[in-house]
Amino acid sequence: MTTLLSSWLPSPAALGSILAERTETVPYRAEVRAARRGDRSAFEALVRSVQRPVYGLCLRLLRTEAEAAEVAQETFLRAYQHLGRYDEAKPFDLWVLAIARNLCLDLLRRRSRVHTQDVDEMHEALPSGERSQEEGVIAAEEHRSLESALSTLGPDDREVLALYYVQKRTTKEIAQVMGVAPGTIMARLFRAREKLRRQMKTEDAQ
Amino acid sequence: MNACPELETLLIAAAEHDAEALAHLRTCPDCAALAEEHRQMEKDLFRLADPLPPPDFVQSVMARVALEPAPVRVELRTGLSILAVTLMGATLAFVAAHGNLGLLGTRAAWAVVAWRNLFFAVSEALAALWSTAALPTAVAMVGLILVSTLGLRRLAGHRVVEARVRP
Repeated sequence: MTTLLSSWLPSPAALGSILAERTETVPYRAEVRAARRGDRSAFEALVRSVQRPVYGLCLRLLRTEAEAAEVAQETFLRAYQHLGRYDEAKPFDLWVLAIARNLCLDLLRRRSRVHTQDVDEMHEALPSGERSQEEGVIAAEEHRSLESALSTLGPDDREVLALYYVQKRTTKEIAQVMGVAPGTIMARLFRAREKLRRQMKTEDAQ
Repeated sequence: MNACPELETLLIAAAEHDAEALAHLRTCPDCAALAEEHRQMEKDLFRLADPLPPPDFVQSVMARVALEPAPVRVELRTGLSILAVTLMGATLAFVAAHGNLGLLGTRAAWAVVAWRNLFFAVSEALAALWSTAALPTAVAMVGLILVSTLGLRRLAGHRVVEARVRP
């Protein structure tokens, strides 16, 4: 009986490594706890850590720098106000990204139409600090054409492509941010990519 | 050659190293060309990066955060509000229950008039409890004090952190 039980139960060393793994898989835990108690410097550290993906997602979805900055700020403010509701078992950055996504989608729903000048503005904004690095790898024209084709896609497609390819998130993480089943992400990615491919072909033909 | 499967099904299966899908891609030049276009596009997409937020972004966020109360205080306030409402509701329900109002009035009048008796009765009850079950009573009291102290410490934790952060 004891042998049977010991074969099922993990050894203390294994248990230790499982616990350590669990602790490691949830980054920012200490900062979140301190921020919850009112330590603003801890919250500032959290903002610094996740500002770029949050702002990046907002810009991909909203396509204007001013709106993206405003919504990203609002995202962090909401995160701070509702820090008590944050489930520490889940990654903090994904929780904040989900808030940002919801705020962006709310704003998009309120928008009645898309201005072409917004799209132009985004083209200028997106390369940002990465311009020289990216341009060294792919030609500026190709990059512009890819961004241009991306901007013609719907928010759902832009979102899934940005999270998977730009932010290098896993399908499981994307599912968590979007609140959908992980099994649907690969299909969503394919459809978005296929739309992008067709759009680029059309642009090339013109 | 077999009819081509749907591209979505084919590419998703190929990404999961499905043998049949991979075999089809090896034998069908049309599907292979489409798969190659997708692969190339993925390569380009992976090279994109998130833009940097405006330089004053963190300062703007923190300026807005500075106006907010600490999250723990909000939690505490919400918890206390819920507790107060629950207690009020329970008290009202107790008082409003049949006969309880009259009973409460009688007891209150009795307590006011004969408070000495009340004090005596309570002290007698405590003495009786102590003489019959001193150890469990003591353990329960110590436990209650410990739990209350730890709870209060946890609730007041943010003050300790603030004091530690400030020089």
